[in-house]
Amino acid sequence: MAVRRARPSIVASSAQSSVKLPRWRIYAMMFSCVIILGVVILRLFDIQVMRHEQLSDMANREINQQITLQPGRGVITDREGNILAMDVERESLWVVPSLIPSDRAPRLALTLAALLGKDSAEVGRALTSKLYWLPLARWLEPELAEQIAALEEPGLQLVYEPRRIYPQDMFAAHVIGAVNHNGDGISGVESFYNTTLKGITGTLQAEFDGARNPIAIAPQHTQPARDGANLHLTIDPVIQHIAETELETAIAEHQADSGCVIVMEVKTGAIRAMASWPTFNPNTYQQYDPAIYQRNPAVSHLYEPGSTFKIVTVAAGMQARAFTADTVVQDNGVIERYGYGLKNWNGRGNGPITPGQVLYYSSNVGALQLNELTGTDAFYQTVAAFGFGQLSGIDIGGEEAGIVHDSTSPGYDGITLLTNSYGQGISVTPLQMVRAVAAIANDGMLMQPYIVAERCDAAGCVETQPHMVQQVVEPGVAWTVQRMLVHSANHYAPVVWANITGSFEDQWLVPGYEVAAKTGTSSIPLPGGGYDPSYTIGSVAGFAQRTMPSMPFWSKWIDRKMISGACKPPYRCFIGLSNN
Amino acid sequence: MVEGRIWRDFNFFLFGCVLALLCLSLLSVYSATLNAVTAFGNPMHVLFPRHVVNIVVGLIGLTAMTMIDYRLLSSFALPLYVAVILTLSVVLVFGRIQEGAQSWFDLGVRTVQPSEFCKVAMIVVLASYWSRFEKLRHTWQVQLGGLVIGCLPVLLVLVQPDFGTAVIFGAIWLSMAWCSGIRLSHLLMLFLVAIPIIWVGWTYVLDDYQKARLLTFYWLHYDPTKVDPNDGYNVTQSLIAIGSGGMFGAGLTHGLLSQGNYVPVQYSDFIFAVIGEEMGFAGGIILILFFFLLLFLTISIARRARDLFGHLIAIGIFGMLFAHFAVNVGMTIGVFPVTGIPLPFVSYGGSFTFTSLLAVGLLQSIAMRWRRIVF
Repeated sequence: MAVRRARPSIVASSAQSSVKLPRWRIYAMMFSCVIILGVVILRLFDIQVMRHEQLSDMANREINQQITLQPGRGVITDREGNILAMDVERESLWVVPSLIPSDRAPRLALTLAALLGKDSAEVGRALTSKLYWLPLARWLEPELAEQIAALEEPGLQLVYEPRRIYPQDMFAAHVIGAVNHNGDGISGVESFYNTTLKGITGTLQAEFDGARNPIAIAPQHTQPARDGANLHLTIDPVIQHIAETELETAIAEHQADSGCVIVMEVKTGAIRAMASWPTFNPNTYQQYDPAIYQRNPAVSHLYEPGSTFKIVTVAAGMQARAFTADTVVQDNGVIERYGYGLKNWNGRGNGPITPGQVLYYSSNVGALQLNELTGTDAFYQTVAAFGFGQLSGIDIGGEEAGIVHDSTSPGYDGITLLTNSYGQGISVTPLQMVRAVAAIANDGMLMQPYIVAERCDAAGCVETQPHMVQQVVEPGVAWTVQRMLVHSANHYAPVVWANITGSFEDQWLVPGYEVAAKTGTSSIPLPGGGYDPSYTIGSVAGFAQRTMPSMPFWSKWIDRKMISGACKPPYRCFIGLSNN
Repeated sequence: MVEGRIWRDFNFFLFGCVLALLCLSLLSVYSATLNAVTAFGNPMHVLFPRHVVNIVVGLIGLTAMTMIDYRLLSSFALPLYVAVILTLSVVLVFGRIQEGAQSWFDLGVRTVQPSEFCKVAMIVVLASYWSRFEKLRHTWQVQLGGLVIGCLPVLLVLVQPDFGTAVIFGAIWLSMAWCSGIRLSHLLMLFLVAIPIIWVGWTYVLDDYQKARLLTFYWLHYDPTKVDPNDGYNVTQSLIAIGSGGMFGAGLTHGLLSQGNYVPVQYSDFIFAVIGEEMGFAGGIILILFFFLLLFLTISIARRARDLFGHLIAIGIFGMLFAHFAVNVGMTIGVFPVTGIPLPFVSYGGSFTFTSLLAVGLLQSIAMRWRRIVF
């Protein structure tokens, strides 16, 4: 207690001896303290109370985001289940330049340039860019991604990004097509079935942290992604392989510019092989001319079919009862119509000939006279019924309809009917030609061609059912034309099957098979009118059947510098090989 | 010297303020490190136990400093100064570069930032200098001497480069010179001399990133469209975090911007953003009021100090804490450029937590020895 009582005097004495300083200096310091205190509190009040709503909105916009969940793209397989196109898991390298210290950037640029095989100056520019986030390399190989991850550089980020690969490279490239950098199909099945293959993107509505990971403490709303459907194609790997190798051989042999082969199952319309040249590798499609990878010539190339079209001429007339297989027309090699001299390919006459012999000798003069018998309406009715001038509806992107001038077209005149009889002045796609001849082989039933046999997604598999479009000609007419085509095949048998003498009799060209075929050679129309004198298109359309339940149908066409005979050897090979 | 009786003058209000701030610190550092990850993706929650250890060690330092008579330190002023200059020079040569500045010693388990300890050491050195020339301290020669003593470590710190610490050294010197009686005319002359020096500093000394931070601050206030999105990111995130806290905050560990790593270095330099977002305006005000109570208590201890040495030490500590507070909170709420200095007693950081608590111990030592005679 004594101490406490003594205290005031001690305070008084010590106050005298403590440091003498002008009070105003202390007050000035306290004043500055109070000023800062006021500024801080006012500012806090402004931010937290006055601008609370506005800043909360900014926070929500920043945090509460929706990201899309990418579904896996469907796998494409051939008829036997071999994988033609699939996604592989890859990582892409992105750069966040702000996280890379400027003193470390040059060394890092050298390291990355060496790893990625890029120019170090270019990499350096990316590392010091003003952008927040930019891609440096896409789809790194897994070993490379590991090496880059081992650098432990926060400014380098590996982002999961699946890559579309085609394990069989150029095999069936035009059928499959390719996928661009955005993951969209640009041609072939990839394009036609893009949405099916892509699946449905899911969303993740969540609150994200600064590194774009969902914040654990916040609720999330997820709409999961649905993977794309897997497609099983009708493509038969063996037939496709034969078609591709034979086409390549023929192209080389005849120094042709381009060509294509289609094999279709006549009973169902399923495409078993579809090969085109020049072809491409869908893995590296960017290295090719867009004209090569963007369209499939088998469904999009328009050409004048030439003599193969005489099959349609004969079938149309017989279906219209305009003539029979025994009707005889006089072929003198040249015939005068509308002031033009229309002639055979060699200008020589074949005398009085039946429709079967018109096909056998490939007589233009005979064919046009048959068409005169059939008449405009009946002829074009059958041409349309065979599907010419219309899309076939095959499930491959980029299909063309072709051009058919019938009597209602502007600029139609009588001579069109005559030139159309031997396949000039009309333009078709290879697939249309194949389909029409397949209808003959299928007893007059025109089938819908298709390339996808089955599509499977999480809900199950849907098989494509063969679809008959219509009965184009009666089975009897079809049977008659089939016989004529067997004779026609025999006509050029000496060229192809050297040991067999050509004759107008039925013969076994390939033991066990009755081969039917018709060749065609046509000219290429020039844009300004007339025909290109230096190039021709050679083609063969035919089938071999009866002894096998569903024998494929075969067609081929080769552009430029080709004589019709050139098409025959691959045909022989094909029939021979598929026999095994 | 240490008698039980002098403990009755132990300033419990001051100590209470420090304990209150430490409690806020434990809550906010726990929350800030709970979900945060480093740029490499390592979790930061390991920092919380370290922070507890830092505080415990700091409180031990505080107690030890309280028991030592501050007047003993006067005789160590010269060796202290030599030690300051040496450590700051050595760290430039052997130091470890962290967060863009060569300011750290790597001791294996922990890294140590010597410039933090140098702050308190410089306070003792300058206080000792001016108290030695107590009678002549108004003369320009003595004041110039103080300036030279103060400038040397500032230059060494600027080389690291650590702009923030240089500002703190400046504030310490200014507050001590002010209370040692520097004349207004001297200050005015210093101000005139400073203009060309600042120009030279801006042109030759400051790094690009420091300039960018200062310019960012300028544009943030005068034309937000010119703010570089990268440089302005820190301040913007901090402002959004504090603003979204509102009156009472989102609750500890529930601040999405703090938890989501949007707020940069939220456990250290931007800890005030965490408090603002998770404890709101109310939490911020509580922190500020405790802090200013602490500052006013520091001034009152300075006023009652028995000699000029103690007085100037207390003023120096006031200057250090005040500058730290103003620069740190000012940067967090966007009224001061971004300079990486921590908030005393609240931010995570071993060296500075220890230094601040040591300074409080020094204040207590002064407070307890203000009587000439102890009965």
